[in-house]
Amino acid sequence: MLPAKIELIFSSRLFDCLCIVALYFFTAAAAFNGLQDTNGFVNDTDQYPTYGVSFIGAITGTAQKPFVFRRLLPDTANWVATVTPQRVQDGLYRWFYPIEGPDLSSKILAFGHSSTTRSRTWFFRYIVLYLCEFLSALLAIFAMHLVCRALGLPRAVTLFAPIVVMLFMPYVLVFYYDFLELALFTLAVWMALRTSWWWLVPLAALGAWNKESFLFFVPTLYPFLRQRFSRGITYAAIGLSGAASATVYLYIRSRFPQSPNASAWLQWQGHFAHLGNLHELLVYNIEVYGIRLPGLSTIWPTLLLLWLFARAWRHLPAMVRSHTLIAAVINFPLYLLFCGAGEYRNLSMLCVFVLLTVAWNLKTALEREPPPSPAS
Amino acid sequence: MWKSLSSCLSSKVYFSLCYGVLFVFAAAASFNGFLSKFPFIEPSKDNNIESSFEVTMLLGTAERPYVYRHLIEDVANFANWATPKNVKEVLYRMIFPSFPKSGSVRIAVFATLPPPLRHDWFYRYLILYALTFLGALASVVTMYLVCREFALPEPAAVLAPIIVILIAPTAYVFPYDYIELAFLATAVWFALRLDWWWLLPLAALAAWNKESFFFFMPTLYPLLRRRISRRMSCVAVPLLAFVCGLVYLYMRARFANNAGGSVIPQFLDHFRTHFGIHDLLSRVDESYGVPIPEISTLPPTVLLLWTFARVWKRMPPAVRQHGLIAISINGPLYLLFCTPHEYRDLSLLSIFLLLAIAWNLTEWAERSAPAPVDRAV
Repeated sequence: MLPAKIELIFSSRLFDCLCIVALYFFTAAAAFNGLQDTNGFVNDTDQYPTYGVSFIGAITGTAQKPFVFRRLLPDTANWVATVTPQRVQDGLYRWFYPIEGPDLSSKILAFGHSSTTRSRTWFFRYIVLYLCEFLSALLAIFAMHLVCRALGLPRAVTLFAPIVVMLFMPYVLVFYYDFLELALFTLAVWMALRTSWWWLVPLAALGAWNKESFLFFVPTLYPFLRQRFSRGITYAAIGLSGAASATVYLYIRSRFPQSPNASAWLQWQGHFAHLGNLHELLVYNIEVYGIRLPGLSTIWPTLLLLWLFARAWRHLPAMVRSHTLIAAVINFPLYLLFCGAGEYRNLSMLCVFVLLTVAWNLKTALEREPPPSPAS
Repeated sequence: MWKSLSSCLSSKVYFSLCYGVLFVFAAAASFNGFLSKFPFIEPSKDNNIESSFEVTMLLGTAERPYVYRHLIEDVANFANWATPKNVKEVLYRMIFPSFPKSGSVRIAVFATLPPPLRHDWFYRYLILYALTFLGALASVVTMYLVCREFALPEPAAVLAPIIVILIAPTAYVFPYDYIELAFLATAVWFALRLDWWWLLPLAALAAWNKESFFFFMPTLYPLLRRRISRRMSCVAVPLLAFVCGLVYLYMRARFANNAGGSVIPQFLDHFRTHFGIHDLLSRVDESYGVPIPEISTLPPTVLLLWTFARVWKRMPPAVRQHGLIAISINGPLYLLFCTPHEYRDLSLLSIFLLLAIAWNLTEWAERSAPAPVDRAV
């Protein structure tokens, strides 16, 4: 019979890889699309001031501090634009907008709306930044897969947990660099679990180039490294990675001395106001994926999250728990001091913890019933 | 302390809650991907929306055969007629807040509705919008129920519906596609679970949504046989098809004077377009704002066929028969009347695809897991 032959010709491995790549591609695309549709490359509105972190603000470096420090993707876009010959850029523009005139219709629907994408000056950089953000999402989901695998979770959970976390990302994330932050944090944990420690040093430099929070994430890798290396090597790895992060951060600071606003904003009073505001706690809602949902910081989603954590906590491996404790000890004070109230996005250092909590919960959910015998 | 807490709140509530949230997000992600392709509201420059597809559907002036797919539009028109004015006014204020501080429209898509037309049209649009999303959500939930009915292991039963709904926007073009998927899955679930006559009202509703449901009825035969005798099944299937046929004939009579035709013969187009290198390899489509190869090009098609081929022998005979009947009906119809490259028109196979994916996942999970490193969880 034909199917049997087909099965012989192609190995299962190839099929598995193709399917996982296709599935992760779609999931990352769905999450990316959700983020783009809700926030795009954010623009200032009355409701949601974003301090110049629009597309232009990011590319030209005119955004306010500290947003202007998140340079990796804008620098990449600018660099690609300088090395690509003008001829190629023009050809691409003509391909995207085949019809000249005021009513330009674009090949990519998502590009059709904005005047920025239609300007000859910004069009190419816009594409590069757009693609980079999508690739970050793709990298993030694969990195999460790797972490789950490295911890020896069951196969179904390894496949499934990254999909779940990814689908929820547009609910949490806002800015173009958020996906990459998630990707690099997760990748760092995987490297600490699997590769030689010195790979962490270039990664830390890249991470800090993308967002200064990476500097604070480096110490949380300690428990993972200690599993495989001696105390001395672990300290060296963390010290060197931290130094790389700090150097990059200081360099980027020195690039934008004139940018308005402070490098970190003291916002701790906001949290009290937030807790005292019933509207914020109960009925605040946001649009995600075109659907109005209660905001993540309202009471019900927060309770569900806490419940998720509570059920998983005891079952997580010891090193993940220590990692989480270190991350929480660093992240919570920073969050209370410098972050906007209710912006759970800023608790990003806990992302690996969230991933593994989801994974453990899935594991329980999926093992709840013993696999029944196939029907009929 | 945590132990007592988690034992007093039962696991069942907890996991239902988590599954519910997960399914909502998967359906919403899919729906959002669909929204970035399908313009619900597309006013022309002079603020005229009479030519927009959804408005012609609501007014019943769209071309045949599209105008036959009229379920959600009829619901929207009915709701528009039945809802008191002050309720609409409250909803209007919720979507278009009047005070300038939060001046933005609360559902982004509705911002494209020109202000002069908002009062007249927003409510019907809102119903269509909500029903389409609910269609996506109902699809995920019913597909999950179908998988459970086949006693598939839990991971496959949860993940397979999510995969199908995430792929859906690559193929789907109209709001009724989501509703159709929901009806197909519900029909299969009813056939497996409930007394067969529950299918009668479902068939009427589903044929109201799209006439293709008529052709889906024979594929239920092997599934019905699980619960009822051969003779009863032989009565049930024609009766169900008869109900679908009646609804379809009513729709035909209702829109007899519309432009277009009941079917659009497109047989030759398949030969013209399916055998060019460009069509086979490099057609690009946009889904989720990202350009990807169209699903009808060679690589995705091969992957799909491979998905079926790998688990064909593992699937229960009833499912195989269901799949065979579906392809032998849908294949010729596709070649005769459907636009080339539109795999959406192979929708009768969607439940078969769901089950093929589910069995693939089962088989995959059963093969050896990767070796744990260090301390396993």
